Amino acid sequence: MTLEIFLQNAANGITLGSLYALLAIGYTMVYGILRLINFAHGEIFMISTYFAFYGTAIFALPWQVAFVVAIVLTALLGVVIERAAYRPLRDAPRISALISAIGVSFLMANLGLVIFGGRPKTFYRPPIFQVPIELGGVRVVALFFVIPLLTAILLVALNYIVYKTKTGLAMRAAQWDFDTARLMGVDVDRAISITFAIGSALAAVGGIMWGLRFAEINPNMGLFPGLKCFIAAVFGGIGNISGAVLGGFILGFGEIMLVAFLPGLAGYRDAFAFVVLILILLVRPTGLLGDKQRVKV
Amino acid sequence: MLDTNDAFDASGTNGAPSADLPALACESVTMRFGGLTAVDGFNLRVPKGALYGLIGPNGAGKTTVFNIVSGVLRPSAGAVKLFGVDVTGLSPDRIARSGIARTFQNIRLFRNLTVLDNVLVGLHLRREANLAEAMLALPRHRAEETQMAATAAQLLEEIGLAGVSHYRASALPYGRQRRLEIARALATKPAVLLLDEPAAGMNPAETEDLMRLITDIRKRFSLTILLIEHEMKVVMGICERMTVLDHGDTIAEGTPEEIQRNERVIKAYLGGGAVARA
Amino acid sequence: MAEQRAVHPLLKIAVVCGALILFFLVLSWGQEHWDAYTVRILNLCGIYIGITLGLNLCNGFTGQFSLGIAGFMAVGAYTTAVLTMSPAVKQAVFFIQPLIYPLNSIQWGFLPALLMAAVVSGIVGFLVGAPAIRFRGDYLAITTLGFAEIIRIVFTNIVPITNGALGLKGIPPHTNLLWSWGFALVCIAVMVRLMRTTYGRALKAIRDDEVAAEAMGVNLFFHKNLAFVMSAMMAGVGGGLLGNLITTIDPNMFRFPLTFTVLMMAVLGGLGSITGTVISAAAVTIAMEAFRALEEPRVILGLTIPGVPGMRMVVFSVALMIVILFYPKGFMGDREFSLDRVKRLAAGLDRTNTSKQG
Repeated sequence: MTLEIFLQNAANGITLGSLYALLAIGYTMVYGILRLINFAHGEIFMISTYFAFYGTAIFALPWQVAFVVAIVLTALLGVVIERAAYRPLRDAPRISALISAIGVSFLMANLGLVIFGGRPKTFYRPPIFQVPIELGGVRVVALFFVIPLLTAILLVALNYIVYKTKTGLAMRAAQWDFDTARLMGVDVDRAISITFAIGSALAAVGGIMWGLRFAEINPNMGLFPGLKCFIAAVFGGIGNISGAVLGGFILGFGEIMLVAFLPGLAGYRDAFAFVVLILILLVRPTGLLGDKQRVKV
Repeated sequence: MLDTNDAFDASGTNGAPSADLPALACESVTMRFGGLTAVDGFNLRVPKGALYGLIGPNGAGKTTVFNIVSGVLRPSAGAVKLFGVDVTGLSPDRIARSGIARTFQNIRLFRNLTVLDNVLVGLHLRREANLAEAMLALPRHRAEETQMAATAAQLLEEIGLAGVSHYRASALPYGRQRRLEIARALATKPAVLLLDEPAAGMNPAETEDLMRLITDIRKRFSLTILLIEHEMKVVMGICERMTVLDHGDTIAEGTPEEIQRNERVIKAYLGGGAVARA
Repeated sequence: MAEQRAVHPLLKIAVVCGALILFFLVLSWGQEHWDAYTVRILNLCGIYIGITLGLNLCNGFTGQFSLGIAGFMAVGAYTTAVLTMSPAVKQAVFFIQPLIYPLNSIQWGFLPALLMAAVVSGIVGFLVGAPAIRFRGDYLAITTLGFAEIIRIVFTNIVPITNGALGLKGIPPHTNLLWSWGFALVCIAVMVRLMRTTYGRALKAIRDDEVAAEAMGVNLFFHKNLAFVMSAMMAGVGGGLLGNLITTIDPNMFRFPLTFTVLMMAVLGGLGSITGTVISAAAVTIAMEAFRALEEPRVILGLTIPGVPGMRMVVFSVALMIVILFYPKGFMGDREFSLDRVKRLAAGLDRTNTSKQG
């Protein structure tokens, strides 16, 4: 393997890693506050790409507007899902909420199939992102720089929100204990809604980036990235935003490198994430950056 | 009648339990959670047949001790001994099989099972028929099921829950749920019974009933009982001796009278938050 | 309490045997005389009853939420297929890479093949369950889902054993109504028997509160794995029957939508009710076929209305959401059909139903 090929793969890895990171954050934030795997997160990601697609294709909006609108709509979608499918089950046994999440996920994927049709659609790629750049013998497009950069900016913004604002404080308080938070004057419902909104918005950014990068979208595209990104979140330490980012990067990067170094195992590419999951749960279930938790008796 | 002897054969002393071998002993038990030391060098000797109390302000480490003894937690250091046999760090089910049973601070019944079934689960660990015999409904299994049903019914009778055996456990009023939890623990044929705040949430009349129940079962089932309790009436009323914990340290040990006069205890309670009611 | 005349046990056995014989006679006749479509649906009903009972055992009765059932069905399906296909067919089907020795030259009867499917899926079930079972709730779900996906991906790649993505064709169509409903009845019998024993109670105790169950001496590793492995075996045999019914299988059949379908059947019927599972598995199977019409183009009054692919699953997903949000216990909750209850209902109870009978 030449340096060139390695760098090319590294570029792919960083891109995929960023995308996974963006998606993983949504999982970890929701899990941190609700102790629920939002199975529907992958579908939220999928639908955001369609929002953007229809914005540019049908409504002929300029892409900047279409993308922003898609992000906003997706954030709203996340809030609606929480309100309709998860909130009513907050006091129900955990399994009910889990089943509900699975149901929503499946419903949205199939609804997507029904409404959008099964044939993949081509995502609009604004020329500005396709400007070719050559660096160190590696040929990429501008997008390869935009993605990690945007991810980094969003992370800084997110960190600011979570650790330096009152809203973030409310979210963190709700993570520990609802009743205590309420007694402290925190509007728990609002904190949860905001969590979903932010997580979904980040998924939408990821979705749009995904569309720009891979150009093809279809209603079933949410399942695997969804699973892998949840695994990334677990790997990094569920409930921990930095952990999710770390996990996303490692998983995305690792997946590309696996295929690059061991092309014979290319067919097992998707299994990589699952193997990582099983290993991390066996070796260090709280994830790389997580802290030990314990069942109260 | 439930015979405690077939649960646990007191230890390594050729069948005859030594008179001064405590039923339950903790030797320098320490529990650290990360930077926090919940229990530090804890020692305990509960003589056979005693009704022993473990008291202390909230957060003192009492339930942690219970969790260590019952196998939920593995201590960072120290040993737990049952009639001299080291049972430290065994899993909770093996501890139960050795002869230690417990109830929980927040009642943990099998909510969707009937009262009778709750008790029957307690009898499961003493089963002799294996899975194959059970699935094929062979005679030994069927006889055992009949026996278990009879034992459970009798136990419920003695605890005073016979009339409600077919009720769902979650349908019982609070006081009776506590009794059921105790009945279930008794079904495991323990030598030592750990009761975690059994009087919590009870009114004075229920508390009286409970005190009677505890002293009663101690005699009838030949138990050694270790009791965590905040309700001073119960502790001073029925415990013969007690240990007082505060922030993981033992600050006093003795009879109720001695404890009530102990200055460190008084300070811990009045300073720490829980008000001592004698 | 209503008076009960003691029924002589021999009479009970005679009645049950008589009913069974009659049942199987009807099925034999039906296999020959009913139209192929009906027979196929009835076969699927029987098979899914057994598989869903397996899921219910693990997820419902023991409270171990596993999403791996498609994986075990795959294991069972491939095991039976490879064992029952004739060497000639195998040679034709495995044209990219031949099937390994000795599998390429053997051909077993259906029953031994199914039993082998049970054994293999049981072993795989243990390999998955033993490490996974220590996790709670969502983690167990995602881990088992991961394992199921790994199984599928592995099957897609180990061409000399499974023929990879091409799948298997020409599987002998051994499955008939006797086999599928025999399977269903065996599964029902196993479940009913298990739940009547102390082991069944232990499983339910684990579901309700595993900390307390363990404190009462129930060994979690043994009992959870018991449920898990039995569930995997039932899924494996069901998968085998399925393979020999539809005669072609490929790894893509055994993806998450299959798990979802079985899960939905269990939830709709009531996670914790054998009766509920039986009813809903049959009902959903039939509905699935009926709703297929939604996805086919139809001609009404001379107009061709295009089919809407995916509509079936939308309907079922919505049904699942409605159930989980408004009737979380499903159709039967955790109640079972019992003659006692029927008699009491018939006698006309006017007592209000307090939450008594569990």
